[in-house]
Amino acid sequence: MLLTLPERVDGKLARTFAGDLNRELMNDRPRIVVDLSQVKQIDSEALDTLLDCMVAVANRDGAVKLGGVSPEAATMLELTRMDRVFEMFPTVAEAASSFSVARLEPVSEQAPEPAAA
Amino acid sequence: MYVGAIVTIANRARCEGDSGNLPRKRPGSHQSTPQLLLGSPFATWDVLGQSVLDRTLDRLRVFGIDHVSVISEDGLCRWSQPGPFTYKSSTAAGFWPAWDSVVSQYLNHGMATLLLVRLGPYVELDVSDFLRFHRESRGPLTQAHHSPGPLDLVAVDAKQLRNAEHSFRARLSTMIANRREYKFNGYLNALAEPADFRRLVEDALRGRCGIRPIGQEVEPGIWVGQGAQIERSANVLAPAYIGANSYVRSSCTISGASAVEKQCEVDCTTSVDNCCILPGTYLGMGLNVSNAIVGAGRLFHLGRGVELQMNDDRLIGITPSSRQLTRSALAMFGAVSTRASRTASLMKARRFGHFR
Repeated sequence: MLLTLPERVDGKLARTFAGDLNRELMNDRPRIVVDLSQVKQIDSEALDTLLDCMVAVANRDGAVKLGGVSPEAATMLELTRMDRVFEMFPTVAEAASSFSVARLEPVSEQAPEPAAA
Repeated sequence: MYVGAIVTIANRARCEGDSGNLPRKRPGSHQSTPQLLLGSPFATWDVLGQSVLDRTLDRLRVFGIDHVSVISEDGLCRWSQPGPFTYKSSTAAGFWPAWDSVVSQYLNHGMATLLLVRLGPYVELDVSDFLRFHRESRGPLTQAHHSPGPLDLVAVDAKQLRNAEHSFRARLSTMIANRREYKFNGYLNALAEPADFRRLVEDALRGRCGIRPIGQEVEPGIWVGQGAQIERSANVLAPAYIGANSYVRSSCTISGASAVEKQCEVDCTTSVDNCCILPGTYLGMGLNVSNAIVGAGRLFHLGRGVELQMNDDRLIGITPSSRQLTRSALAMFGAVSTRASRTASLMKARRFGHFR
């Protein structure tokens, strides 16, 4: 699920977005990407809500990742030390692709041949 | 010999739109357009306990300038000391009327040399040597030059202002064409960008310029202003400055040549690294403030070049004592159109105690 936050995000708006998340939380291992590329202003209440979402998602073995973090949002995340809590990516695409799990190769039952000397 | 000085503080709009007869900005020169930092000109913000404006006025007094007046962008004018002068402009009357009024009064009281300083850049110039050069060169106008170019620092022969028929501005214009150049290689900071302001603070803390912190050096490289409190568990790493009446609460870390100016409060566990915290700033609990200039409810991040308006007192706000100070200043001076003027006025009130 992709959530795109607007230029100004306050607690009220963040709670509205959190409401949208509830549907996603019905699934196991919810995967949320929050697009912060447009954000110019975000207050601490909104960051609190984002943190609550992360906890709720983590409780269902999912993850919230931040993509396209604007310099303003990055500054706020750093100020509140939340840059250490969230995984952040330069773009939304990179954040989304980070969810893909590396495919496991089938393991041969035969013992590998010894390497030639 | 009577020397009168005019120190002007102009904002970006004035300098770009109408620099009048003062030398204009040229590419590569240090006649920099004074930039605004968090809503005010750099010159009005404190650098280790005293603003660039106040430090400039002090330097002029040390070098024996008889009278100094400060004219802000909107024409508000303050005299440096009581005397024969009258206070003409109590409201915003415009820059040039105030400037003409000051020059006229200087001339009426026998001024021999007029010194014009625009802030602008921070310059550590030997003013007495500059004035001696001006007198000996016998030119109508002398302008200080640093290696990158001319500076907004000019000495004018007052006789030339008296003798002509046109306005002072027009007379000054004609003199600029015949100016002499005074070259100097001392410390200069263009103060054109927020990074320049930060560099000035760091240079001062590391002893690279003549600015000395206002306070006591309690440990090597750590200066503390009067009435400042630092909790025992707080960690202050040299060089650092904690201004007068500031409070650094428990488990805070102040590092990276940071300056916490007067009447600030740094709340518990917050770390401040490579920062200038401007007077009257409250930093909330548990923050990580790094590589930034913070003040007046705003944060400028030096690395990212963004300025954030903080509408959240839990994070960054104004200390109660600072609010009280602002209220007192407003009550004293009435409505003034810009914060820059308020700050300049307030500083003059404190320094010279002369208002009518």
